[in-house]
Amino acid sequence: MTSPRVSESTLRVRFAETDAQGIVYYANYFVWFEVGRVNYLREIGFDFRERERQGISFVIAEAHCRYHASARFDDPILIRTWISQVRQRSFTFAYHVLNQDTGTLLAEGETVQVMMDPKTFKPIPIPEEFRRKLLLEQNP
Amino acid sequence: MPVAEVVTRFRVRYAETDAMGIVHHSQHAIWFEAGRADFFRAAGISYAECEARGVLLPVSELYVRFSHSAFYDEEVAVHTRLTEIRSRGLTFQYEVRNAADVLLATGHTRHICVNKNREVQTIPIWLRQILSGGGHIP
Repeated sequence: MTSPRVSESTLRVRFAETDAQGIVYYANYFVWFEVGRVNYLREIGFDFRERERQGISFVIAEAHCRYHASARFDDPILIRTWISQVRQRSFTFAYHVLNQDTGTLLAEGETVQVMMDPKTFKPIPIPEEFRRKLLLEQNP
Repeated sequence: MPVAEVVTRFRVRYAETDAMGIVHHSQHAIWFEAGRADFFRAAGISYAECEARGVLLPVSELYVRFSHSAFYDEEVAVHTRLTEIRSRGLTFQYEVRNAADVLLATGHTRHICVNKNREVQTIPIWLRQILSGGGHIP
């Protein structure tokens, strides 16, 4: 069993992401997961701007985050993203969010994406070519 | 009487929607926070007052399961329940429903109790009593 390929994304904490405690508000980690996810998918040839032409559409069915340490304004953030599960109609991304300077793990989580028909909004099987690509990424 | 469930109602704002025409999945966490704040107030103390008294309850875990999409301007209701009070933490559960009572999302948040220096502390007895329905602000 090989390890899944890991994609790395970086960003700096924006002031707008912080709250009255001086730390990043908890909902923003789902946005950071999205940064990691979109970069990951771009790296494997999935262009969101061409989503309709590629006929691939999915929605987030579940999202989970466990918080370990706080991030503050202007902190350099590293998001590690990988595929942890590929099923018939859904696939799961896993994430680690770290402080890039200290290496401290700030948060970890998962999101489950369900493939859907862009017209009917009903779940459909993952298109075979895309699914093969995901499996290869999960188990290179 | 303990507060069983608190319902928070509002309409979906445009700012909460995304390019797919639905509420972005990060926004439900903000709705949960609104529900939680109303829960504290209904129990007898605002969360702001808790913080002023040196009791902070940062989120240690967030989980959301999305069942149906929410759309701009529809009325949604967040049903908030306190399902667990541990010595140093709390768990809230949430259900989000639209006006037709369709379940849009469920989820939970776990919280740890810390002081102003962000050191873990046991939940003070007065807050425990308020949240479990038997107390008042000392």
